[in-house]
Amino acid sequence: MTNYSPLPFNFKLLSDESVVISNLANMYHVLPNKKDLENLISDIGSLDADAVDKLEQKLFLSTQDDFEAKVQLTASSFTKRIHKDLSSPRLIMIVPTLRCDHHCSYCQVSRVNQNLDGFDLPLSSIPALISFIKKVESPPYKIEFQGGEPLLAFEFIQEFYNQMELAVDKEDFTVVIATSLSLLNDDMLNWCHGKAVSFSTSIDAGIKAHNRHRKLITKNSFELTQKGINSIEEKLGKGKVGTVTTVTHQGLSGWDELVDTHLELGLSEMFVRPVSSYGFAIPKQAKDVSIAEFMVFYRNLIFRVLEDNKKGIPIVEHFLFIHYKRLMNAKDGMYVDLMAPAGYAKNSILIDYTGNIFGSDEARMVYRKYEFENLVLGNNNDQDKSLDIDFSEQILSQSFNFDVPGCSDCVYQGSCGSDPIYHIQEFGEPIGNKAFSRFCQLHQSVFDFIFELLKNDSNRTVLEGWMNE
Amino acid sequence: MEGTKRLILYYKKSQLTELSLRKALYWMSEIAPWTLELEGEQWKVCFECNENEITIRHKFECLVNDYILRSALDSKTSDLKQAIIKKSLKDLSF
Repeated sequence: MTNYSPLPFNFKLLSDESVVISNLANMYHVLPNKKDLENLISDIGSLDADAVDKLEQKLFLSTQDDFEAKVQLTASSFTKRIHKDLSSPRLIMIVPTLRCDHHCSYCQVSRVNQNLDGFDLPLSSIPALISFIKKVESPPYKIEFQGGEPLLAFEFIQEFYNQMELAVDKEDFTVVIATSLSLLNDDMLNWCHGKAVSFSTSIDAGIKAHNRHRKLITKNSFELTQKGINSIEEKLGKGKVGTVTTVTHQGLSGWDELVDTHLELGLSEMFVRPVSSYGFAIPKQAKDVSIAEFMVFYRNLIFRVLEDNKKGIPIVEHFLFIHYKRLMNAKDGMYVDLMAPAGYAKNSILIDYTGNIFGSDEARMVYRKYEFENLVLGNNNDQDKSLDIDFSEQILSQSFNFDVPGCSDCVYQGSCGSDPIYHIQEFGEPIGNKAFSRFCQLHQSVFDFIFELLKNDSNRTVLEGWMNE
Repeated sequence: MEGTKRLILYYKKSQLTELSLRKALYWMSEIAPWTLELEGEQWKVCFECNENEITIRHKFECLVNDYILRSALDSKTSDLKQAIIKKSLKDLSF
């Protein structure tokens, strides 16, 4: 009889009594009950042959003969996973202005009124900006304009694009404008035509909630977004605009309305997440929506999305999909929040309207609120000085999640990430207490939900279909 | 404090390590304030609770059971896990 030994693994009991297990190779397996878990640890002989076979294939069990090989395989998969998180491309975000026409209740950066002076990057900063981008990243460059409302600084975007075209190959950069679309006009769209420019906009859950939180004097933020999306699709074609949905308390029952809105606008992709808890959004969001409340909304949303897919209506929800890709070790399963070591600075960098350089959008939000100087890596206007990365190195070195409290035993460790900036904000240090961490609650809940969904073959087929698209 | 109950649980020191207990207690902080003391040969865990004594007890005992299992698994695989991580990080050659 073969003498099996368990290789290291983590586990979690799910609400239906089944047990998810995972290992350093980031392979997952679901045991039907806790008894099987106990047997896997102490009495492997009592597991059935089929289970043993699967556990062997997934590197949870070894024999004397294959022990060395399986340890090598595990180590190599672990190395590969960390390497993937270390080497994925860096998103360059530029905040050309802090001015905004909206006054959103959960604004994280405390935007300023649109007619104020002194809150814009000058056009004269562009050459230095491009030279900085070329220095810190290699092509193809992914540039995202954030705000404030970047369309208030459209001249800056145009000039940046023109100079970028002269500085690098045209095919070597893409631009995304993150905007409410309220100020989009035909001149802007005509300029975008034929260029590698696309838009990212917001559609909150619940039209009423959207207009309530995304405040405009005209009280028609949603209608303007809707009009903007239609104009983009008409003038630039499909696939040029993506959406991000923020779920607030007022939108908690709006899952069907949200899907319907996307479908009516001809959008087949969505990205849904709870209101974020960074910077100036903290006191407002803390009273707003808990992760448990968000998950009630989110489960209903996903059930609706999956049912639509089963009926032949193709619609992808990317927040779930990215978690699924992380569980499946998909090649393109990169998401800055779900990386360990963290995506901060190595996968994102942001230059704000003052020229200050940050390791992430969240870092500038925390800096704006707490004036935490260590988060400023440098300034675009002072490029002779090298970036101050001591603090960032410290943050990154503490953002591996295999050896920190709360993560070291977690079954989702290999798929999850670490969010040092969030934990600095909440706990004053980059690791934080995961028992109180909204980040931990959210991502664990989504991973749990995926394992629940995968018990149904038709759900699995839909998710696999998304992978193959 | 008026209206606050105390839930006191004892565990034999010979059957449960301090590390397992503290790892389980880590996740309890969000639910109820707790203290851990050694009384002779027993661990004394004390929770401050309101009306949720049964929920707290159930949650904590589940966590303790899980950490006992993890401890059993660690006794067989912990060194190997550290060796794999060490080797992997070395292979990354920063």
